[in-house]
Amino acid sequence: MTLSDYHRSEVEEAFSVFTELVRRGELDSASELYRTYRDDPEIARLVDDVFLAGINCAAVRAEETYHLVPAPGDSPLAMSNAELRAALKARNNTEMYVGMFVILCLISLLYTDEGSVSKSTYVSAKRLEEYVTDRLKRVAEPVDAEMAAEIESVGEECEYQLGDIAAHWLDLPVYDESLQQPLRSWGNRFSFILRVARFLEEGGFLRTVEERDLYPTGKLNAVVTQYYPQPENRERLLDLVRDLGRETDA
Amino acid sequence: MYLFRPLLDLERSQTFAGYDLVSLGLATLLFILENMLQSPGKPCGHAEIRRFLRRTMRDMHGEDPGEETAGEMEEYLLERLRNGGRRFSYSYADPGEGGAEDVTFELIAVDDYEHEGRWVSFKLTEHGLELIFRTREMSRELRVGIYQLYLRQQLERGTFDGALEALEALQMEVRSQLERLDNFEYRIYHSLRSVRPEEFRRQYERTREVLEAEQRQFQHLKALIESERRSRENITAPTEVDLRALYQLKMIEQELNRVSNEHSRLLARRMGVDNLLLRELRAEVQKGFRVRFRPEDELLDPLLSRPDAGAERVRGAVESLLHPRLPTYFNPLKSMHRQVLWGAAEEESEEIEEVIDGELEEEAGRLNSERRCIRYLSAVARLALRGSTFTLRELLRAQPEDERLTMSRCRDFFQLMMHLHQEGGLDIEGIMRGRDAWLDSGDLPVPYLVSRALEDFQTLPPSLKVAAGDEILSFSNGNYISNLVFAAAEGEDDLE
Repeated sequence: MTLSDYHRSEVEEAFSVFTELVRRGELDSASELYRTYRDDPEIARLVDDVFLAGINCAAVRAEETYHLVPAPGDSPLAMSNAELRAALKARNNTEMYVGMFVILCLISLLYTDEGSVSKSTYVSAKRLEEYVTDRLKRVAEPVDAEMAAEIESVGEECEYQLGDIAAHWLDLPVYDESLQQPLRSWGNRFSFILRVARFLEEGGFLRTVEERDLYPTGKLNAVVTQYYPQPENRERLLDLVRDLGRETDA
Repeated sequence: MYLFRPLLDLERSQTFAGYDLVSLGLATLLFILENMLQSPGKPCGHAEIRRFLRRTMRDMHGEDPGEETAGEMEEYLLERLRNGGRRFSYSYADPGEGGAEDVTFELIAVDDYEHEGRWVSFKLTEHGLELIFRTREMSRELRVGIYQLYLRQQLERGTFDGALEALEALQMEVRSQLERLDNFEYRIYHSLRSVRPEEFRRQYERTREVLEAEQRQFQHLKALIESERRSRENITAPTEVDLRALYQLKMIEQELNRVSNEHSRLLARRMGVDNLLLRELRAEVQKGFRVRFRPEDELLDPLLSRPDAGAERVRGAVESLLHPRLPTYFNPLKSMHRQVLWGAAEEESEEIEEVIDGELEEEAGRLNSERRCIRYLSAVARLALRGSTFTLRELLRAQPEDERLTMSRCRDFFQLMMHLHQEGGLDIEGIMRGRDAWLDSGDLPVPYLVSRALEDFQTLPPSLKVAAGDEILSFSNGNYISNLVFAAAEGEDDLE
């Protein structure tokens, strides 16, 4: 089907859906456009395959709301590193990357079972801390000398590597008893996790209970269990985690 | 209880050992009922029952009993359930009133027959219906219809107590169906996978046609009640019995209206759920043959298997979990507007246009502004390092000619100064230790700017207090600001 097969009003309506999504970041059932998008496959196809694909984004539905999410890879709507630092309130790129790594570990812990069901309804900050530490220790202490040599040689080409993330994280104390407000610090692992959790909370992905337990929201579920597994996304993600290092411009 | 006797008696039968005759008997009654519910009444004769029994026996025992056995079974069951053509007659003790009471009834009657073709069709009698009604041994899908039928009979017979009771059952059934539909809908929403195939089937069996037929039945019932009521209202000298009946009829009418309204909702909801189901199924199919997705296997492990590569990969893996940057200025329709030079709308002098010459893109402008703010902040920090108190005027004087002009002309310097003034100072130590509240003021991410400005500093300047001075400075861009006084803060507490 080419664009000329669409009726003018369909294109206009699809465009309204698109602008609404991009303007507010979501589309909920209170909006008339929600039904249009949900119920009319032609319009949905226009929105998804033409407009959203054009800015490399997707709309992921969780319960009765569509959320706009940037697709893996470059999207004009993805935050720049500077913006991401500001949103995370990180002071430098290292902290930012460690933050991203914590998020990755969080979803690894939460979604361990197949498809739609997450095995854990929540993850405690403690368990997440142990998991991140465990994973990063393996990076910091390469299994064999050959690997170590490889890290050494390739490492120089890139500005930031996993090793930096590991070094930064492992240098931090696990917990700082003296802090009155753990959320204000980057200086220990627990504060770090809480800050990342708050960042995700602001994005509507997580709920933190008692500054201790992290509960995924429907939005997080939707992205990880519906959006990520789609074959094309899966492929892109895999390409990203395997290869992007070569062309990084961090 | 007596109604059950013919069925229970089947249990004692020695014929057809190995078959559960009670179940088969009940099934036969249900089969006849089912045919009655199809409108217009589908014929249900010996041949139909025989086929039904053969199917049922095969399902029960896993092997086909054969035409002959099924025929014998049909003959036997109908014989027993119709008591060889005689009415059943039992006498039972009535504990309420004492003594014994005789009851006679039949369960199955002939609905229609054709002598020439030697063919008859059966129907359930009122007692047969009541038996089914009492057992509640009927598929959910048919319940509403059965209750309606039962209600109709009660009405026709003029037993309004029974009618009210039937209405209650009807109402409960409609409500529980609404509830199940709600539940079903919720589960579809939540995850299509949690809905079992039997459930799909059950929901689909209860098709729209059934619901619509039930709706029509409600209309008939309403008409029936109305005519009944009318006829009683016209009685000139009503007896007490008539009045009571009239009262009951009104109640029944009210209740029936209520049930029928709820039933209409059922129909509407049902259509909604159908649409939802189709859409979700489509979505599920689109997802393809997804097996499983474990972020640990698919993202984390591949990432960690190449520790040498850049950290940017980590970001790629979670990109979709970072909220998109929603540009406030993003309005595609603006592409239709006439292009205007950035800043030209500000009615500023030509000098401003020189400063921002070529900065057509807002992004570039923003980055430049950020860079300038970082310069201003390091200028402030350099002066602060000297240890003494200084004013805004001194700050400006300490700058090279070009920089001073920029400060005076661009709005961002003015904004930054206003921000510092409003905040009452700059908690440099706090910011560098990450303890600051990180309160962004509008477009100015001050803590971030400060940390960038101080990147090259060997020693950290002290935190500053900023207070209004005693004179007003005016900038060449038309802004006025107090000649701010910057002083080193004595303790952190001053700022908090």
